[in-house]
Amino acid sequence: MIRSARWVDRIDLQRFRFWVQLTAFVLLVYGGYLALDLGSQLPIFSCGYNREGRAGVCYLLPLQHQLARPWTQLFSFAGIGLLTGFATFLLWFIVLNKGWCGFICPLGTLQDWLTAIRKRLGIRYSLYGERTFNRLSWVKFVLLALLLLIPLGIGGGFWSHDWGAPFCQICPGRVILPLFTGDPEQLTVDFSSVGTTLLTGGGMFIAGLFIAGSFFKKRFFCFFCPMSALHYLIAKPALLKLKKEGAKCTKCGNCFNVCDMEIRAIADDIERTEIMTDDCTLCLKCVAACPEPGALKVEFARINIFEATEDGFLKRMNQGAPRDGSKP
Amino acid sequence: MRPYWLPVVAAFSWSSAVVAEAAAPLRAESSPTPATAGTAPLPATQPLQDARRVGWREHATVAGGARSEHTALSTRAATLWLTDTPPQRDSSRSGYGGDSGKSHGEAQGQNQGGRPQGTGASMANDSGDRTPTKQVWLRQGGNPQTARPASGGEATLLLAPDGSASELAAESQEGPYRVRFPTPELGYYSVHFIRRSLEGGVLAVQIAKAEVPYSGMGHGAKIDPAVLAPKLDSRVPLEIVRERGADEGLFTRINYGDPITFQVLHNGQPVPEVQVTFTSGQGWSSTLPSGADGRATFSVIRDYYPDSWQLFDKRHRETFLATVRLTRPEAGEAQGAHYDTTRYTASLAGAYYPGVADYESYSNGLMLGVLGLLFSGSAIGWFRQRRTRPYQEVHFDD
Repeated sequence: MIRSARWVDRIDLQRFRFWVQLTAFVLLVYGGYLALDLGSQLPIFSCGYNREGRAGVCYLLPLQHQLARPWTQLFSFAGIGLLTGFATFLLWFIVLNKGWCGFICPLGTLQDWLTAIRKRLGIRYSLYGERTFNRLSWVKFVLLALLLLIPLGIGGGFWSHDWGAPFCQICPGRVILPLFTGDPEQLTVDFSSVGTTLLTGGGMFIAGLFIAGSFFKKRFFCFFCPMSALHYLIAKPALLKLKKEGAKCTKCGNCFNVCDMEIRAIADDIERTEIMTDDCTLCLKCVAACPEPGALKVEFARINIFEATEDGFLKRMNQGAPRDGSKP
Repeated sequence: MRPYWLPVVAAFSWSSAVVAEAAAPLRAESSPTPATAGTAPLPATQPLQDARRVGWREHATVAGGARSEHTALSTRAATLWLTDTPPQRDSSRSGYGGDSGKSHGEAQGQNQGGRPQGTGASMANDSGDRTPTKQVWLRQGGNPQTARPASGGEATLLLAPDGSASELAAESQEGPYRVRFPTPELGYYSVHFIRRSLEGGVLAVQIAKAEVPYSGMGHGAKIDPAVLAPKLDSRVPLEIVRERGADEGLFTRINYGDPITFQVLHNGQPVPEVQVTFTSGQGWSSTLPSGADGRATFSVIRDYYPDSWQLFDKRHRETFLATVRLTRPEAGEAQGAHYDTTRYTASLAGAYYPGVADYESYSNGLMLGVLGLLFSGSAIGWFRQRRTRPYQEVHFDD
């Protein structure tokens, strides 16, 4: 048991994550061809517009459709469907917490691949300043509020159904993910009304922003992701937890330096034990980069499954170096 | 599914395509280029060129503008047909149909949530049963735009998606003829209204048919093709059957430019060389003889030209009408009298809508995508340039 725990703590997280992400991407984007269907309450951007290949549907799509039902229905029998849908989403989410973002989300994986291309090309990445970071952190909550309120307004008769599923219309996942199955149908602007023109036109523009932004900035879109905001709001009962023991932290800053989301609190905050913030994607890079034994750890149902160790840190830092100590 | 190459190559621009076409006179002599994807390779014996050669004719009953031909026939005026569009929708029609004059998303007959209610569907019937129901109404007249509600007392034959048959009594003996039927299963429900009357020594048999889809609340769920297949019954002597496309589902819509193929069956056998007439929602019609296998293929023309972009509604629903007449020397007794000849008139009505190529643009989409890419790329480049500008010492001139 101890040996296996020690083996896990020494794992090459980067390689492990790459393969998990690749497998998840293939399953979610092409699984439909193998009749794989995980339902329509997934806590990730497995895009429903990828009609042929999808193995499941992002929960935000049915959520917006359900909220757009007429209020007379929504607050009667249709409300049951909404609640059961949310319960299913919660059950999916509760297992991996935000680990869905860091390991499974196809759109997150795409961003990581764009980052990998940039690294290969030797182009340096961009960072937000602290002030910009704090300002941008709110955007996803605003988007989440709009995502909920606009469909509710449609159901109440305030807006036309042309504004239906507003977030999906501007989501880069709708435009980009179907391309992986050879479906370019979402590369259009729908001129049938003012609402659809603005939303689909905005969607195309944001898709362009997404590609360039993700190329230069790690996990560019995750700062604005309303799914991430929704995750954070319901993260309390989740089984997978990122924990920190402030007493063991030396504030070396490794965790902050490797964090794709530039979360400063991971290094600065030595008070809280549950250190996961709203922007965190639970990629666990911080744990892998931490040299202080037990300072950062990952628990699943209160069982320690991966923690920072000096041994693991040294192994990962020396990855690729010759064993005899000579310079590579 | 749309062909991928089509809108990419011929990228659509609203201003240049739709508005220009709206300003142009209605195309009476040519049918639009048909979309070929999404339909089965049918052994059509009447190619689309025939439709162009025969041409589309506008009926004089259509209001407004100079009319080139007058083809109104008394027999056409007597044509009976069934539709799932309520009469109220048609009674307010003018110009470009029931949805004209409404701004986006404000089509007539919307519920509180703004979704169009174009058909007589409901979730509960009068007895409080939660089984969804549909209704169809009887119309009279060969032009869908000017046809009037018809009355009658005959029972209607209903063929459910599972092939079971039942008879439906009219909802009301007075006023417009209407029947309501439950739709417990997904699929097409075929409704047949048959009226027999003796006119001199001729037995006139009028058969009106409607195929009403029930798609439930599912979104794109895969469905057994068997429930989509046309249902036949020996009690229907003459029938027009619409061919299904290869990828057709319950959510598949017939769009402008699509080919539409009908097969004429008399007692279950194909009828060759019979004149089949296809009439659009605005009253444009084309007549073709059926081929050796009883099939005739038409191209659905676009006849929806709102005056401005603001009036365009992508859910605009038009009703087409396919009719066929067949006279046979079939003798017999009816209503206590002898007849030597039987004259059948069959009709099939359905709905069609604007195609996505009418309102979606790849060129503008790609342009905006590239713009977003360039904008963010340039912004990042500019920001970096500003941040890496070499230090310059400031000199004060004392």
